Amino acid sequence: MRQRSLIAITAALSAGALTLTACGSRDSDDKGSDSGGTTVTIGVDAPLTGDLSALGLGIKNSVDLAAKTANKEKFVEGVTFKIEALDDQAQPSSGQQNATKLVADKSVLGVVGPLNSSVAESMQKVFDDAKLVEVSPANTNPALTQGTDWQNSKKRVYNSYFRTATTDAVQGPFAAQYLFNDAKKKKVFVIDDKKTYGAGLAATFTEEFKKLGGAVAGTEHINPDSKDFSAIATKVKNSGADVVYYGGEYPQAGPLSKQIKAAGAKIPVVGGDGIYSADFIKLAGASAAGDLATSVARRSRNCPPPRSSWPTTRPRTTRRPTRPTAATPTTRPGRSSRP
Amino acid sequence: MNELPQQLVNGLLLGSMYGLVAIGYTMVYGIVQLINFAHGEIFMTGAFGALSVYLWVLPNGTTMWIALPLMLIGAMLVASLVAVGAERFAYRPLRGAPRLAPLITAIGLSLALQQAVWAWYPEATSARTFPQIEGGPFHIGDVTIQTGDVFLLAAAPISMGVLAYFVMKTRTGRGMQATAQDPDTAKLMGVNTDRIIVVAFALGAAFAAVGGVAYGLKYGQIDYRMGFILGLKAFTAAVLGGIGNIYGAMIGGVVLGIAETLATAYIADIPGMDQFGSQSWADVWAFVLLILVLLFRPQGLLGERVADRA
Repeated sequence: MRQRSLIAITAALSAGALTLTACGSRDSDDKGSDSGGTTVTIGVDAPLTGDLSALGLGIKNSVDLAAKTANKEKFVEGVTFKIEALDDQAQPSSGQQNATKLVADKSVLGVVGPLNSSVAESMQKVFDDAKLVEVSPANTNPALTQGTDWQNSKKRVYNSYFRTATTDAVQGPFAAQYLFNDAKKKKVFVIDDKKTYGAGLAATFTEEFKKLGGAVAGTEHINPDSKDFSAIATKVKNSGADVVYYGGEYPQAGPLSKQIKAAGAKIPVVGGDGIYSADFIKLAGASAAGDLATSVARRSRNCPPPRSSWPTTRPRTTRRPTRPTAATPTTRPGRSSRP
Repeated sequence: MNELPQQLVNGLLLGSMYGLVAIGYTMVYGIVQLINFAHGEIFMTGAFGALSVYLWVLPNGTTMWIALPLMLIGAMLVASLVAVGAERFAYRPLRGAPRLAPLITAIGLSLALQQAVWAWYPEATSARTFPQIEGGPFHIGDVTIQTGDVFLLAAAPISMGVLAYFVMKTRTGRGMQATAQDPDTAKLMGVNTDRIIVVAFALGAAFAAVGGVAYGLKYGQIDYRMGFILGLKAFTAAVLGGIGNIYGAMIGGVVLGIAETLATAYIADIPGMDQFGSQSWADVWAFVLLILVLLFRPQGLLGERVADRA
C-alpha cells in the first residue's frame, strides 16, 4: 500500500524525533570546558541497528550535529569534540558491554544515551562506579533517577546518571488525564510488552486512569517477538473498550494497532514516546488515523541557547502521529525547527 | 464466549502458516534426517522475493489480482534457489559427517541469511511494507476474515493437496518415499538420491515461500528477522505432528496455532490464572502441550516410527 498522503506528516515527525536529543546533547558540550584537552570524546549508546534504529539513529545524528556545531562555533576554545557511537541493539547486555568499553576509553568525558530504560538499568552502575556522567535523552522509567520504590520514597541511586526526558510518572498520568477529561474516553484496554519502559508506563497510566474514575476493560501483555496479535485484537474488540493504551515501542505498536482495527475495533491506540516515530505510521498503515502519542521532549524552539541553564522537563503536548481528525489537543503541537 | 469462533479462526490462520513452513522441516528431515534450522530464513527470503517482484519487476500500480500470482512465482523461485544453494554448498559437503556438523551449519546459515538480507536488501534494516489486497474484510456471522487471510485460507489446503498428489502419484514423489525409507536400497534400485534430496529442499522452500507471501499479506510488513521465531514454531509444529510426516506437519501447525490463540484468549479467565494468561505466556502453554503430546505419543500426532534408524 502506498501512503503518499502521509509523507508530509512523516517528515514532520522525523524532525520531531530530533528535538528529543537536541536539548540533551548540549550538556555534553558543557563538560568539555572543564578539561583543557584538545580532543574530547562524547560517547553515544543507542540502538543503531534493529527495530528501534529509527529512534537510535536520531540520537546518534543529533549528538553528531551538536558536536559539529560546537566545533564550528568554537563553544569551547581549543577543544575539539568527537563522538564515539556504539550500538546496543536495544539489548541490556550489549548496553553494559558498551558502557564498559566507554569507561575504559580515557578520552571519553561523557556519554549520551541510551534510548531504552531497560538498557539504562544495566549501564547505570558501570558509569557510576567510574564516575562518568551519562545523560539519556529518552529514558522515561521513574526508577532510573528515583529508585525502585519511587512511589513511596524517592531515592537517587546513581549520581552520575541524568536525563533530559521527563519520567513516566508524568507521561502516563498526562495521557490518562487527556483521554479521560478531554477525549472523554471511559473504558480503556491496557496492553504492555513487559519491558522496563512499557510495563512501567502502562502502570502509571492505569493508576491515574482509575483514579480519575475510568474503567479498565482488560489488560494484556504481548510477546515482543511476535507479530501476530490477532487473539489480543479479538479480545479488545469484545471487551467494549473505547480506547487502547499501549506501553511499549513502535515495532510492536504499529502491527498491534493495525490488527486491532482490522478486527473491527475502531478505537484509537494511545502510547508514549516509544511509539512517537514516523515508523509507527509506516507499520500501522492508514487505519492508524486517530492514534495518539505523548512525547517527553520540549519543543526545539524553546530550547535555551547552548551553555545556559538546565532545561526544565515537562511533557510535551499530546499530538497525533497521524493526520488530525475531530478533537484537537488542548495545546498546539510543537512545530519542529532544526536546532 | 461469543468470541470463540473468531479465536478459532485466528488460530487456524496462524497455524496454517506454521504448517506451510513445517512441511519443509518435515520433508528434509524425513529424507536426510537433518533439522534444517535455516528453513525459517528460507521462508523470509521467499517473502522478500515476492516483495522484489512487486517493487522492481511489475509496473507501478499493478492490481493485486495480476501481481499476486507473479509474486508467488517469484517468491517460490527465490526461496527454492536459496534452499538448493544451501543444500549444494552447505549441507552436501557434510553428508557423511556426524549429525551435529550439519546442524551447526544450519544455525550458522540461518544467521548468515538474516544478516545478508539485513545488509544488502534495500532498506531492510527496518520492517518493509508489503503490498495488500484491496477490499474490506468479510463477515461470516460473528467471524471477521481479513482480505489478506483469504489467501492463506485457500493456499494452505491447496498446497497440501498438490503436495499429497506429488508425493503419492508422481515418479519423483515415489522416489522420495523410497529414499526416506532406505536411502541405500533406493540408490541400488536406481533412484538418484542426490536429485531427490535437492527436490525435497526446493519443494519445502516453495511451500515456505507461499507461507512467506501469506505472512506479508496478513501482517502488511516483512523484516529480516521474521523467519527466526516462526521457524522455531514451525519446527515445533513438525515435531508435534510427527516429524517426517507431511500431513502431520500441517495438523501439528494448526493444533499449535489454535493452542497459542486459545491460551492467549482464555487462560486469563480461569480464576487464579490471570498471571499466566497473557500472550507472553502463550508460548509456554504451547510447549506444555507439545511435551504432553510427546509424553503419550513420542512419535507425534501422526508419526509412524518410534525408533529412528540413524
